[in-house]
Amino acid sequence: MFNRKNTKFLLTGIMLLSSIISVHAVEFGVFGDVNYNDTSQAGGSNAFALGSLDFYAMQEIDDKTRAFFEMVFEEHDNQNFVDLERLWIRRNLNDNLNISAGRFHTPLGYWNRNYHHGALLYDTATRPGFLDFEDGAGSILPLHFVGILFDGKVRAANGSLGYELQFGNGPSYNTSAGYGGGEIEVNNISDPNRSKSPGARITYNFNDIPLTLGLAAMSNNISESGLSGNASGIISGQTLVQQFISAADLEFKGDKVDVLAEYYSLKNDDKFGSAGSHTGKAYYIQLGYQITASLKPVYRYESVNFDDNDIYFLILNRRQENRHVLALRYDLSESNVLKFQAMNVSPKTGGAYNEYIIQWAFLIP
Amino acid sequence: MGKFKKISNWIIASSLLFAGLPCFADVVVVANKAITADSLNAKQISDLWLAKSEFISGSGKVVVVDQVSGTPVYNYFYKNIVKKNGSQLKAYWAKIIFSGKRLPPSVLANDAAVIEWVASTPAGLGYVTGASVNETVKVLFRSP
Repeated sequence: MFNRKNTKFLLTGIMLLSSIISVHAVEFGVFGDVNYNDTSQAGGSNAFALGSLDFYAMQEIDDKTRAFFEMVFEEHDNQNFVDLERLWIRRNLNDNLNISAGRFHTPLGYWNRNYHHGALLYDTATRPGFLDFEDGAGSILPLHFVGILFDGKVRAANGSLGYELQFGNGPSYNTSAGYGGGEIEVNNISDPNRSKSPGARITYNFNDIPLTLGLAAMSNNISESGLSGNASGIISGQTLVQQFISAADLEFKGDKVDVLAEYYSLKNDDKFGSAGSHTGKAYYIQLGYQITASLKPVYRYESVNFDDNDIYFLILNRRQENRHVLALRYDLSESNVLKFQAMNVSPKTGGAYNEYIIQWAFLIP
Repeated sequence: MGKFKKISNWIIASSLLFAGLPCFADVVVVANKAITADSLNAKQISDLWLAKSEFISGSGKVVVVDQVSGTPVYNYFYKNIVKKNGSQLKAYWAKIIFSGKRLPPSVLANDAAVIEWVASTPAGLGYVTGASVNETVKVLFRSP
């Protein structure tokens, strides 16, 4: 079967192959989810619904530099959208410092910095309503930015201290079509004004207990992005709201019990009208209990409260509400998960309703 | 000539057969001699190779390397020490990569490459079969 020549060739080939040092290939992955929704809301209906399809990849370009992108295909109001959610290049400067440039999730809170757009990663079928992304109906926070990010981790007494510092284009809003007609704009390639948004988050991980604490802050001059003046005489680039966001978050991940909580305070100053300064707040607390390795019930309480005259929430046309979310997560494997969720939504103005979701979320690694 | 041919065939066939077998014993974790730690336990090793930790107490930051997926030493290491199978590992790293924080360890081709890299990298750690260990590296863990 083998002659001597072939045998030598084969052995040489095996030896050659075995001496090759592998390098990192591009690491691709896909997150996706499919849902069935029902609601008790007047005029609502039940439906099967495609969630988002999330492609991401990361590659080590050299021994100190890596690049990453995340693109999400999703549908709103029966229209397809492709969003470049994250795109960055990062250089490791030393053991405690990286510098990155591109588009990121803002360093605000645990959920935004850890779950990104991957439905499989979180235990409930939906994100907390006020942490919806900028194109979500309930979003109140600028959750993406384009600019530069410094981050790193240093060892501390009984744990490690992580930090993230952002500096980038500030969010804006187009009021040309009135209030509530659009979304917070991230400004990927331009910025209506010269004011940039600084932000920071520090986290502390304990060595002995599975606990992470975080504190974050961000300052924004939210400007008009409409090209021409609107009915109120606001011109492009004019500051609508001067905003300061402060936040705290906690993650405890025990063997059986886990707790997630985030609190946000949004101080909003009206810069073109006379609504004045107001502070809104939003928070959630989520408790999970791992019954078996694959079965986990979760409860979450969410609340959004602000002054009726707060110009920021008037512009966004958001509402005050409380939510109770009860979910059961069943891990079929590491790469696909079934979630059953019941949610009670109570707007401050009345008209509480329930929503029910069955979600099958997956990861193609 | 005929005898050599037979032996060659036997060697190749055996190599191919054993390469596919999951049965394996005596995997050791080796470190550069500059690392001051004298031993590691399975939990510490698991944390290092899953990028849950980059530090060894008293020795500072370390860098780990992997072996080629599917080889007996790789299969034994992940099944018996890290306690994850192939699909669990793929899903685990997909989630870590998605976070943008880490990439899986670099892969070296075989025991000799790992030994050479560890010996020449001051913070380097790797795993190899027991028979491949030599005096250029120190052993921090030996599989039971």
